[in-house]
Amino acid sequence: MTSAVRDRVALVGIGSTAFTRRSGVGVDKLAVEAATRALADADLEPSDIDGVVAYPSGARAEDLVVPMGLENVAFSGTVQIGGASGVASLQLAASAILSGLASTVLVFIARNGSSESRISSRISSILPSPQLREAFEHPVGLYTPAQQYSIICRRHMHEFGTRRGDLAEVALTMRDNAQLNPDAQMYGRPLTMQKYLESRPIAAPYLLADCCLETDGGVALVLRGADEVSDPGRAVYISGMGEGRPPSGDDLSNRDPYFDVGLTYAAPRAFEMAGISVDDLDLAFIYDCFTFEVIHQLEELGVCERGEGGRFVREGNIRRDGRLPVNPHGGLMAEGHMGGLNHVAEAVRQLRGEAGPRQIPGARRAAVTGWGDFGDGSIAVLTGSGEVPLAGHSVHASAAGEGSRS
Amino acid sequence: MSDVQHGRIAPEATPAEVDREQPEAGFDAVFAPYFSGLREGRLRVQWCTACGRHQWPARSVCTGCHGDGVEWVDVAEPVGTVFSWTVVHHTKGTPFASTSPYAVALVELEKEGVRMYAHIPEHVDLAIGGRVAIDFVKETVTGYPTWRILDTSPYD
Repeated sequence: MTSAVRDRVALVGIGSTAFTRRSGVGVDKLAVEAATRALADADLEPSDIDGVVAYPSGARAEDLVVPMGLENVAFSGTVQIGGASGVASLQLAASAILSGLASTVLVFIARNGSSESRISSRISSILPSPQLREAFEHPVGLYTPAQQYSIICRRHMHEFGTRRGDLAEVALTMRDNAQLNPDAQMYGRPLTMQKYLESRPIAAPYLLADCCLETDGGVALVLRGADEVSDPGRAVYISGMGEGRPPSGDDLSNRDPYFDVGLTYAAPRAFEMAGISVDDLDLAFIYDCFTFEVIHQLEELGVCERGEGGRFVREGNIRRDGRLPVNPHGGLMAEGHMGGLNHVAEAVRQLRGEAGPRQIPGARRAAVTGWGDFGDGSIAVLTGSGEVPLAGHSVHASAAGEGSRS
Repeated sequence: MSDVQHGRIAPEATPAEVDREQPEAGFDAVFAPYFSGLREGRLRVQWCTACGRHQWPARSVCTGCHGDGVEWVDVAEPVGTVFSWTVVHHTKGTPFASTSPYAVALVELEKEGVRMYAHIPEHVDLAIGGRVAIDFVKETVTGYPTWRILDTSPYD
């Protein structure tokens, strides 16, 4: 079954707006700008788009469909697993394409996440089981993801010896990566250990420098069936994908096992689908909403054992020259929080070999993770065209069951 | 432990006499015995009559057997062990904005085996493994009980 999916859908276009603290424009304009660039990158016209997947906050599908005049949209949808929705949207788009309900799907986020709808006002409207938040969390002063997740972080520190310095290593690595990315909000603003330690506490152990950047902007991606790819050399193929929910998925207080997250369940499915192991990855894009979540997801992705994530980052393994470079664009922490769709866009650049001075040499396979709500997870395993057998060959060869893609 | 119970908490857990004067539908009705318990100085959690396990947070059905035989019971002793916690500094736009920093701990109730969030204003000596007790007298700005430290961690 999985081989019916592997490498059958490709990312053929990416587009972004500038990432800022204050866009000064509506989310419809951000959506149109990102989508226009993605279509240009894919060498497609608005009339080619027959499917739209919108991120669960910010612009809705109509905010793009109407101003852009997408007259052929026959499929639309939105995944509702918080920040994990971005990467999970690839799976929704792929399912529409593989079923034949749509041929060319545009996945997008457009949000004034800094100037209009900051996280504290946003979450109450999109979190699952709002009755639990209102009855048992808000009355005791527990509201935000930073507060919720810092409780997991502290328990991890207690059980496994994860340290403040490990959190700092994640923050410093993301910021260092951003120094090679002129599109990153933290470009030209390096972080030192002293500045990290002096940043103000938000929800201890999380300091401000442990948190990602609330951001105004937009990102759009265009997906097509592998059969329909017009420029195979620039296509990036979805080899494996999945979403997952941990036990007690709408509640972090009584989860058992406590450190299970959605990725714990989604990652093995995606790697099996892709027919590769985590050791085959050349780089990873980890949903870095906060520093510890990178450590946690590295463990659940299977990069290291549970409890070893702190040591893994401490040894420099996620740096650009490390064993598994993570977020070479600077991630949510230093480029900007675009629901992880900016991670997918950077993965495409890296796997095309178009990432300029921050190109990771020999990048052929990448995993992109999403994290949302109370630890819901998503993943996509992406492969550059050079690694995909039959890329650019006849549609009919693969459809007829020849080669490894069938 | 008598100093932490204010004489109103039954020493042994028994199914609570649920106040049936709750006409509201939906989750308001499901959670009503919890809130009326707090007003009476009783901490309650759910208990499944079918599979005999305690459940938290409260839901309309038991997540173990998926049946709806969930009732409310008084917690045997409103004392728990700190599983983890956060110290909230940034809480702009909430009723707690003028009260930060404060701690929210995840507290494990020993006999019931469930964990719940607890607001702890005095948190300097808070530690994983330490014990905390509910305090029905000192309320949060939202009118809910706070918790206070009984002893510090065996790990320190």
